Amino acid sequence: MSNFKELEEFLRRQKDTEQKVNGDLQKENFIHATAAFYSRVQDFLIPLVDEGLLAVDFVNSSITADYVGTYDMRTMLIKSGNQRVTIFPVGSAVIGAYGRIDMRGDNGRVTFLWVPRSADRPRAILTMAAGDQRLPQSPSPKGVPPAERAWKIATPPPDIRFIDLNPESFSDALMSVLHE
Amino acid sequence: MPDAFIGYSHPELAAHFDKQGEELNRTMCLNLIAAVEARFHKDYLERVYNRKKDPLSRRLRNVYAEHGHRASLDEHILEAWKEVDPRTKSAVGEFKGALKFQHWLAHGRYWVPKLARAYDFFSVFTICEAVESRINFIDAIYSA
Repeated sequence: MSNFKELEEFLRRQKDTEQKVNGDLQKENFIHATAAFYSRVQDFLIPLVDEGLLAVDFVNSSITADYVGTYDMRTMLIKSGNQRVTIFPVGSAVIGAYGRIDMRGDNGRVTFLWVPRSADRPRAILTMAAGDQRLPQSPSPKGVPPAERAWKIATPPPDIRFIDLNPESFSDALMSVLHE
Repeated sequence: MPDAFIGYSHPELAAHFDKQGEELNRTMCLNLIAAVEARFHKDYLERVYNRKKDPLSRRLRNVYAEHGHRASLDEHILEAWKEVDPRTKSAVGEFKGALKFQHWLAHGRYWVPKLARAYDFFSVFTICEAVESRINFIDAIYSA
């Protein structure tokens, strides 16, 4: 067989086995999850906003991702005195999670990952990805349906842990990115 | 999959490996230049200890008389090579330039180096290979 014919056959086999990545579904899930995240964070901050200690605002932003293209999102701005904290979606195509949102202030950055609700560390996710039989079957392409995922705070490496998101943990996270 | 990559986006992962590749590139440059540096020093001491009589060896023995083990590779040893054997001028000159790059790599990279050219593994390898092929080192009877 000529080299060109071999190449043609090879490319045909590649096309036949090409996995159709459901980018649109992934995007929609991530958009809804991000909106839910912002709503929760706003709820956490209501007492502080009511006291005039914080102000929350939103600006338009966008994300560009493989298989999906560019789509509109929102960035949350938290203002306190002279300090500004931005909370922005990074995207749904991240390693070991269904989505990522970052919070950035003058003093550092905190990462929020959208992971299976029961996961407390990356090994749990990677085990699930390998086909853990204890998990229920899911219609989602990657195993855990959106309703069974949760936003968690990811601690920095090397020993990454996922911390449940609640008013206390979010307060700690926000404090860590603000400077004295 | 190392846990450290959890949460990385694709561009971040690519940037991470680009950075690692660049650091590996620089580490190899450091090691290559150091290896050739050692060749020059060993050759210098061999000529001195064995009281070689050729013009270069006599020149280097004079350097040793004045500076001993503290002879500078750049100012004394390489200059001796260039003066006594002009055929080596180009290879030695290029190597002297690479030494400046090695100095910057080895000493913390905290300043903007004034280098005659950009260096990477391939250019440093070419320079070191030219030294090996054009310089008649006296092989030391001792080696690391």
